[in-house]
Amino acid sequence: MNIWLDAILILVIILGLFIVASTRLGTMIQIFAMQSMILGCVPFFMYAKEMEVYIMIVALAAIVLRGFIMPNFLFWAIRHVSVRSEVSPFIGVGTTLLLSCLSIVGSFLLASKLVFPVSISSELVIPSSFSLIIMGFILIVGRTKAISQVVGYLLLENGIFLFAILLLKKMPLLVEMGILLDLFIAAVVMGIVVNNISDEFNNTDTMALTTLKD
Amino acid sequence: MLLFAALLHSACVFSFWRFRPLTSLNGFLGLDALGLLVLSVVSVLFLMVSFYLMGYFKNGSDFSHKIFIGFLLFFLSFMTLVTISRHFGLLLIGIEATTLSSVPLINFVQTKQSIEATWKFLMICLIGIALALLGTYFLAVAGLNNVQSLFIDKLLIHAKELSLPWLKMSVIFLLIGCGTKMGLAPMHTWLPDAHSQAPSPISALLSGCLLNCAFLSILRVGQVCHAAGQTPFFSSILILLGVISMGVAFVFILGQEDYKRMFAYSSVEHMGILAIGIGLGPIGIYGALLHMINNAMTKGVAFLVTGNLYKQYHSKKVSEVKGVLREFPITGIFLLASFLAVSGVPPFGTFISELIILYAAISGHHYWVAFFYCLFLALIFIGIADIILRMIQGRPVDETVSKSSRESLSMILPILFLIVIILILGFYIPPFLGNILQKAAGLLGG
Repeated sequence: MNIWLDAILILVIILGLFIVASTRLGTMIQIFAMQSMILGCVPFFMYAKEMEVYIMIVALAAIVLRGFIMPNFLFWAIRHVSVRSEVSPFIGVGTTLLLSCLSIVGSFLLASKLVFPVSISSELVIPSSFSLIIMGFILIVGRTKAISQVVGYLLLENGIFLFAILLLKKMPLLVEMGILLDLFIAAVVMGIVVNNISDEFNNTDTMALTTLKD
Repeated sequence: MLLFAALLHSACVFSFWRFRPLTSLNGFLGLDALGLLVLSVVSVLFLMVSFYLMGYFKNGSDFSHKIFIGFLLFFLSFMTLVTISRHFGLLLIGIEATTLSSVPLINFVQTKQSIEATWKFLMICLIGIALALLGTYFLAVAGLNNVQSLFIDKLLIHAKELSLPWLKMSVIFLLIGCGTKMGLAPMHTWLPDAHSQAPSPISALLSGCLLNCAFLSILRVGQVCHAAGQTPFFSSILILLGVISMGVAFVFILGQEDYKRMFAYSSVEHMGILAIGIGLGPIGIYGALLHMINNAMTKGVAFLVTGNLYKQYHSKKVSEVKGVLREFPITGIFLLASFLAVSGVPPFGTFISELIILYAAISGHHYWVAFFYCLFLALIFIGIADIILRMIQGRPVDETVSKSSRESLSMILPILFLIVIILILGFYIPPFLGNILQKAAGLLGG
């Protein structure tokens, strides 16, 4: 079981690198959907021996919300604003990839310093969640299209979700669900604002948002 | 409708002063002195703003106004949730929900600038909350061996047993996350944009209520740190952030061309003062809590006055607003009062609370903090005075501006009421308030 979990986590990180490296928005969203679905399966492997109903509910909700509804919504958004690709990223693809790889190394170093109080089924969970979070950050900072920034935010949330899976046994279900729902609504609101930006500016390049400054 | 809801809310809060409710919903909800304090501030300010909105939306029955009022009520209820939650997860859900429900409020006018402000607000605050969420999970990890819950009460009892490295990590992440929402520099960049582009009553609510709710979440972290014996660690971060905030506010207030942005940076300054106060130990905590009340009322006055100004001059530029005192005497006097209150001049309550924090700094031998505190306060006073006095004196640039709109009663009374509250707090702190302040400061180790 442990080997499967490790394999899945490595796959998640590699998909993260794919997201960071791709410039076509459609591809980004598709890979994000795939990553979220795989991530939603992690609880099944991690708690295989001690499966409970609410863990299944959280995992299924994550798969449905992040793997299906959210990507479809994002696809609707890019159809509406008719952008296809990230033409001129703020930080180039090569640099982004290099930074992401560095972030993976950094996450492993950081995770080795922090001792998790109870034994966990895979050593890879914490470093991979940290590296997903940092990759999300890189995407938010490095891209100029509003949709890519939303994907970056979702990637960051995926990292946090991965960390939260570790605590699934200890946190009340209500809180888990509340957080899941909150994130979902957040992304929807972002999508709507993206549409507002495109209506007003005729594109979704956040580089156009520079009138307010001191 | 809005006014009715606001009145009902205040009535409920008032009854909580008399009879403290018990914790309910398996301990998820409950009201302690800190929560009650923030909740009352939120309630009073919201009531005043809803009075004000009656005059602000004169012909207010079309569809977009209904949506506006709906989101305003959502905003109020989520802020209430933040003040009464006794669980860190629920607290974060509340804070995130306040962010989301204020998005349509900030973007109400739907101009290019307001969309830009909304996008920045949304992006920066959501990332901040995501970091705070990570901090909350770290807190859960810190207590995984013994506490096994995120209920504030349980955490406080078992705080000594928390694993230290994870606790420190979680404090850092929570401070950065909630500090973003509270507008502490260097995470403040959303604040001036959102405050200047939102309709003025909304700016008042953002500045007076929302920032205080974020402040409350930082206080909750402070409670846990205090119980775990990690107060020095917590204080040092807060003092650093506070001094940086005051410095940043001073740099951007000098020569500011937009009067709403000026008041927004003044919010950054006052949040810095609050952070410094909390970092300075028992006396400082008392001062900071008092300052929180004063600041909320003052910011309410300041932003509502800018609402009046904007109605009359249709401009946010300082250079286009001249001769306020001559053309609109009441607004002019209010503007003067808000300037004096914002910069903490004696008859107003802000003076007392700023003085208490200064006393805390000196008596705690934090001379450098005291030095920077006084320096920035004085410089900011000069900066604001320069801007406001230019606006008040002289003759209007455009003569047609005058007489076009009169100052309506519902846009004056709420401001007057808030000014009276600040004035009273400057002379005399009523015993019931003093009691609750003592109790609240006691919760934080004051």
